[in-house]
Amino acid sequence: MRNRCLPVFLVLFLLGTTPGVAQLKKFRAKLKPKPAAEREERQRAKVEALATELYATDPDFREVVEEHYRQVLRQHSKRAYRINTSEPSQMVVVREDRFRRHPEGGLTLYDNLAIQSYVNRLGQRLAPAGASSLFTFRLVVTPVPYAEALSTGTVYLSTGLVALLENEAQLAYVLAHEMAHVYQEHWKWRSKLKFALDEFNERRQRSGWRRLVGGLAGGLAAGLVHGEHGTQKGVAVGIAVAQSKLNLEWGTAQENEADEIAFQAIQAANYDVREVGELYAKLNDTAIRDARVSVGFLGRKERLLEREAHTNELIRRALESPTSESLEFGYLIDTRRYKELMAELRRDNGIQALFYDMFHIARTNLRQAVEIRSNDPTSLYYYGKVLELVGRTDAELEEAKDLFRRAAENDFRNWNFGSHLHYALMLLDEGDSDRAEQELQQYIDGYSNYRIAEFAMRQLPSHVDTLFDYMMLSGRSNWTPILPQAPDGFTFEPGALATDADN
Amino acid sequence: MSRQSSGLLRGWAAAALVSLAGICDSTSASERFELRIPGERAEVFVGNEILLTRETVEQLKIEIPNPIAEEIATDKIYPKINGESAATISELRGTSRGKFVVLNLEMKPHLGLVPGINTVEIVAENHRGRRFYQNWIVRLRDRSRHEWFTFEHIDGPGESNPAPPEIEVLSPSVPPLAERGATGVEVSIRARVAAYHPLDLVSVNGSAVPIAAGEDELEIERSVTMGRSSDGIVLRVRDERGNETRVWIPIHKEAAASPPKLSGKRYLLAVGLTDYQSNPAGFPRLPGASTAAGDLARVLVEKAGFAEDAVLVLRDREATLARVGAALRDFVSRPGPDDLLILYLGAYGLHGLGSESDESYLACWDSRLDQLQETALSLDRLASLLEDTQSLRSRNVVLLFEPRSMPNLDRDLAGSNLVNARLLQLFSADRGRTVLVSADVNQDSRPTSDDLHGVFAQALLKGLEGEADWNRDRILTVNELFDFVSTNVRAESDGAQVPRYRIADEVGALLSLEHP
Repeated sequence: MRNRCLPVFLVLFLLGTTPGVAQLKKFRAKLKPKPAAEREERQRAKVEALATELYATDPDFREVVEEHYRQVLRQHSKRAYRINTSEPSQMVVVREDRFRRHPEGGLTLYDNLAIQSYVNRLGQRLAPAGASSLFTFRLVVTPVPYAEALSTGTVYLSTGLVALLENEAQLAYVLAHEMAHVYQEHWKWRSKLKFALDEFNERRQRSGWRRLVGGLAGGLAAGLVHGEHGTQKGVAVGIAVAQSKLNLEWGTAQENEADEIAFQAIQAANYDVREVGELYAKLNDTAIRDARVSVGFLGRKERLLEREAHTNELIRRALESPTSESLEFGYLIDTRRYKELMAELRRDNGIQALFYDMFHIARTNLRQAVEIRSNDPTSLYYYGKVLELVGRTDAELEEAKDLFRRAAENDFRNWNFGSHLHYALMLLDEGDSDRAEQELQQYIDGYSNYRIAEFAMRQLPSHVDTLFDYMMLSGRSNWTPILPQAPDGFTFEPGALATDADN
Repeated sequence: MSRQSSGLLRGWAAAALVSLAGICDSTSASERFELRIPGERAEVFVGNEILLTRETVEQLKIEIPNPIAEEIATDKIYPKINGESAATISELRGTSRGKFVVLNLEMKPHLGLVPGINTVEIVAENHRGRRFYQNWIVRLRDRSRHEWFTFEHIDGPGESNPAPPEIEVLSPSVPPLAERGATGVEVSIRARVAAYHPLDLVSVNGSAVPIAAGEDELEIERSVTMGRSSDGIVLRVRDERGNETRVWIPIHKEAAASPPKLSGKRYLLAVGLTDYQSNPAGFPRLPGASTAAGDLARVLVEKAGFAEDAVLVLRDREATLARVGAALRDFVSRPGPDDLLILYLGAYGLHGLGSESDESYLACWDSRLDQLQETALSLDRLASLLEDTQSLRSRNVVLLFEPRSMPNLDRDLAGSNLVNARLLQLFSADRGRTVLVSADVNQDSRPTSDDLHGVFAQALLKGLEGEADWNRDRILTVNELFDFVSTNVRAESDGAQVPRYRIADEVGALLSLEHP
């Protein structure tokens, strides 16, 4: 209690009055430090106003901003180049598994042209009419949900994010939202903000007494609430506030602007805007379950409630004026093409997630892939693997066993010889050594045959499995690519075509 | 809608007077999904079935009403058509009343509805993990009508909406038989003909049938004599716009040579459950099922030369879940690839209780109604065991199912008991699995009047004793047996029970039963 006395008496002295208890409480409440987000928002509003003013009136400021924005564009060009020319996936055999491995330590494009093309076309359909900028929409491989809009016009979404979305309406919204940041030149806005902040701090420093007053006021306020430690901390915070720092991520204004443009875009395409609310809820849920999942690409986490309120208002407004198409046919949520392609993407993302220990995402993605394409051996095999790994009940293990069996039966191209091994082990567990022996032999045969054929397969593109998938979906499950004849006298040297990764 | 004039259609329309409201009873109306057929002015329901007067449907819509729709996870909606996932032809839309799944049936031919009976199912899950299940039966007009005869339709030139004439063959019901040594066969033809436009030509084997001017309906009654060298009889009907329908009725020739000797050993696994373990959550008695299993074994041993050590019968208390499971794993692994295995299963067939379950089961001796998942044989498990080619190596497998339903048990099920349809869909014809199910979807298998057998088992036994061998070559084929059983069960039940079957592709298609 004694610790609190000094600042209280000081305040009373400065005020020159003896207030009653009620007045004192009121006064303390007034002095209670504001939440950080609120404080920063006020600060940001001031800096934004200054940025607008300086950009309009100060040619030097404008020049600095333009130069910085040119630098950002150059950086983004390089980033796009790195991602767009990154090594594609490579088929590898690790223990009993054969799968596509993507280079580590950097983002790489998802080498599934049909899905890339579908996502890009969807994004292009949402571009604002008359927009002079050009956009592209691309998928990168990582099971971590992530999105990025470059100032140069490319929007990258991760397979992890797309696999998390429930339907095409949600995907359309994410694409339109990210595109809106580019369309509205928010990167340039960020440059403006950066230099306006410098100017803002400089002006503050010029009036140095503010630091002292800020520090004192902060210290007093915190002292009233938190005691002596609060006083010391408060003085420090107060001084720091006088020397402003600002998070240069998109602010509420930019996010709201992007939301509004995205809403208009998806509404014009007759998508169900109510799915946006579901999207935020889903991302939030997933982020709670797995700390590796961040929702930063759709606005800062601490602002989620505010964003939700804003989107709810936009949904309400959008539903007030239904389009004639929506009245006749309803709003579009999902298409068959989305379902078909997403079964493939979820499978691939599920396999990646399994190797990244993202078990929940792996299980969910692979289960969905199996539900939609019940004869896809790769989905069946990896879903079986996930269940075998994380399953706790007998029923889950029994299901895993059945999945391995079905994977083996549907595996006409010998893609997943590991399913025979897993199945054999489960049979051994049941004491059925005769059948286990047969399965083990099939595993050995499958593995060896693959190793023998592996050299020849190196002549094929690394995403040849995807090409088989396309043909299977079109009903030609027995399609086989024909390799060109090697010229006379030419022999392939084993290892001659090996990639760096092999060495 | 074309002006259809045949008696077939009139009968159809007459049956179509039950309203939509009567489909199901107990689950809450707000939790019920609705099936809509765009373009059909009013769907017609008879019992739980939707009857359509068309042969094809391009689109189906399943409506998911609010408040379920508001909570449904849109990536966890799984529609099925005839047992196959239909997600890749589906589209999802939202309205103020809820959401609806549009199934574009023309996108993938194998997912289209077929003439006759079709099942449409949907499983949807909400964000809290609760599952909702519902099914419908959609019956389309079946103009091909006959598994033995070949129908061909030719559209008239320039017809934008062609409606080929219809031919309903009343007699013969099976291909006529040219006996060994006979010079020919006399065939009595009876058929009904109806067309949208006036008839222009009706002929039987090239011989024209007189038509009155402007006539669009006709009944044909002709007797034709066919030489032993003839392959078949052709009926042709053409309307004045050039739309034509042809039916080819083949002539079956009695084998001249002695029947081929059939190699391979023959096995039988018969499971029949009349009595169930007595417990409060157990099953009531099911007359005839265990007798059928025993009689089937006796007939096959006595009349068809099955070795006694190749026959396993599990009845009542012998048919516990564990023993049935073991038999489906161990006994069925005994036949080699060229051997024949017949499996008969007669027991209660039911859906998981409640509207959330999409599982189906066959009851065993120790099954409990309140713990079906743990105590009954799920159809998925059955399929998993019988589809395992490592275990069941035979490529001549004949699966005979006589599932019976329990009155009032499926009252919480949103839709119909689809056990019969699922049993037909679960097994692969290309692995040599031939399936005969005792009744059509949404029909119950009936007992005989003396409760000694089911109507189906009784016909099966008669057929196996030799009555089904209608070409008298002393080899009973799957086609012969199944046709005999179908015809007899239909007749015995006045059409209320129609067995359904699916015959394996080329390899293993022959059921090689010899009898003296």
